[in-house]
Amino acid sequence: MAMSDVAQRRGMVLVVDDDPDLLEVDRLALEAAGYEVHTASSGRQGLDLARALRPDVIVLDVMMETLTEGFDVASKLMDDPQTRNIPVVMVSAWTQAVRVPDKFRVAQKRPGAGGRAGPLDGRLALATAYYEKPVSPTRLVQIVDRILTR
Amino acid sequence: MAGRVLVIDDEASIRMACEKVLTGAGYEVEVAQDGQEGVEKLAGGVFDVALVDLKMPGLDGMEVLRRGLEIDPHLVAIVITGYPSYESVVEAIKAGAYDYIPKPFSPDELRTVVGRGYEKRELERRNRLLEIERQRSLATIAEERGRLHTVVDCMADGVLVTDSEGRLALYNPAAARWITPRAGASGASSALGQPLGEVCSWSQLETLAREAATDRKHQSVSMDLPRDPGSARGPSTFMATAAPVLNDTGEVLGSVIVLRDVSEWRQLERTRSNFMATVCHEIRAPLSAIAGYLDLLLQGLVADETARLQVLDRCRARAEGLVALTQDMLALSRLEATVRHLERIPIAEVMEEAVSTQALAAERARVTVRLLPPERELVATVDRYELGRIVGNLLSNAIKFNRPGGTVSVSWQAAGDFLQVEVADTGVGIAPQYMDRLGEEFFRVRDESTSGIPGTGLGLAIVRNLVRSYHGDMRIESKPEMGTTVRVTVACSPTPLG
Repeated sequence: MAMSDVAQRRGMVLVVDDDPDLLEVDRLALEAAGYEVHTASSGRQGLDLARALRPDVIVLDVMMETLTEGFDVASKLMDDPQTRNIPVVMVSAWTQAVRVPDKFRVAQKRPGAGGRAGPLDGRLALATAYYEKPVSPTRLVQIVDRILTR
Repeated sequence: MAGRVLVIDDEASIRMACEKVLTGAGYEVEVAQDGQEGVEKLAGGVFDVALVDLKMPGLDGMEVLRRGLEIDPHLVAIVITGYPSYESVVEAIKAGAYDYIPKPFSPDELRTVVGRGYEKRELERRNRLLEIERQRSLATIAEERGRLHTVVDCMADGVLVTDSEGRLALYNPAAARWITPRAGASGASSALGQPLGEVCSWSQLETLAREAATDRKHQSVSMDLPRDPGSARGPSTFMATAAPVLNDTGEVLGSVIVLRDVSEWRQLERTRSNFMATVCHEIRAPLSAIAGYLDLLLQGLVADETARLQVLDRCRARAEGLVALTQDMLALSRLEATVRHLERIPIAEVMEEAVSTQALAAERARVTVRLLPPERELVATVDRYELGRIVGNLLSNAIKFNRPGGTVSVSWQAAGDFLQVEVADTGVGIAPQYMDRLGEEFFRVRDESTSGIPGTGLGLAIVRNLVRSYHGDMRIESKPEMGTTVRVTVACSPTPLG
């Protein structure tokens, strides 16, 4: 009962990552911070859960089965009126410049885009934030906290 | 060297006088007392000047003159005549005499006439030498030009030369693909002499040539070739080096552009950099997991003792994965570097060894491994470690991607010079869309059926590379949910034992 209250207050987070350990780390951290956490291990599953659950924040890994699966998922989220307004935190362990789909490109650094400067930083119109791995669990909780209290 | 003079006269006093005067003037002098002796002496040695008396008994002066000039066309002949008649002198000059001297003559006159003749002889001789020299250097230049042309034509790099007006002066076959000859004024189709911009399909080259010729600019730029008409080649990248061509006084004669195809190098560079990025990704993922778990533990966010142990167990598993990754990467890089240790060994031995290495993993996964040896035991010439690695990696996959209660069968047989090894499992199988990518470095099937299975994504890449290094191949057949069979061939001359 108390846990459910906390979840109600702090919100619901969907984490999409194909690495089961990273999912587990994020889940443990976010749950300890009081969030209701759902996890998906593929882009497909992530999309389904996003539509079904309408989480408050989505934490999305860029490189899953393909180099840009995260972008594909984000693109579909953006095209869907049901999920369009959900903030997305993109996380990637990929260091090299990946082909960012054009719709994610913006000419200038997006004001308010958080995170330290990564290769794609400021170039994503859709994502609320872009981070390079490793993002510590503490840091992830801070990022999600900030988005939801804004 | 002193000039050599032959005096041919039937009068002894003239011979003696000439010999005395000319010897005194520094010449080497010989005498002949009649025409016959004179011709013999001319034939027997080289003389610069011959003094020939026209009126002699026997062979007369005119005949001596003719024969002497036949022997040496460059001989300077001076006729001596006691009866200076206009006709006889003209006849002698026509026959090739250089000069005449009338009798009686003073020593000074003799010295002057002979001196002038000798000088002429010397000048002619030098001219002839110079001419020979000139011909020789012309031949050398022509030869060098031909050689240079051959060198330029054989170059794999494209070479374009323009004159100071920007007209194409020379291009080699490697550069010909960008040049379109046009019909010139003469009707003949040629690109030479035409403005570069009009015959060259690559406009950047004209700019380079102009900048080299007018601004004396040396530059190397990397350029992407637009489209290569009439060729199946893919996009290419070229390194173009342009420079002015100067003459020895420093004037600009034109420009030269050398084009080098660096596409392959670029491709290698891209492959290397992609590989590095993939390696970093493969290392970062487990490190992120370990760091994340440790962070949670340190903050006391994993309260339950059992959960703590599970987290630590996951840390250990990911660390082990990293160790395996470094080993596989070493194995992969070692393939190109190590010296193969070939020996004649019983194949069954290698197979049993590989199975025993995987025994613990098989037991944990509750998978049964069966060895199906051929009827007659085989021996083959192969590196024990390498064959063990091939079979070991295939076995490891067959166990990992299996299910509890499943089996793995390892069989082998000789097929000509090749050893054929087959590893068949009853595991989860591989979906058809992944088949093409198997063996690709770091490629792993990531879906529900494989989640949680550790691996580096290098195992099959190592097998594929090893098998190829033995001139063999790797074939994979798979049915999802039914299992996978991998068949590899290795050239190692297998023969039955005994």
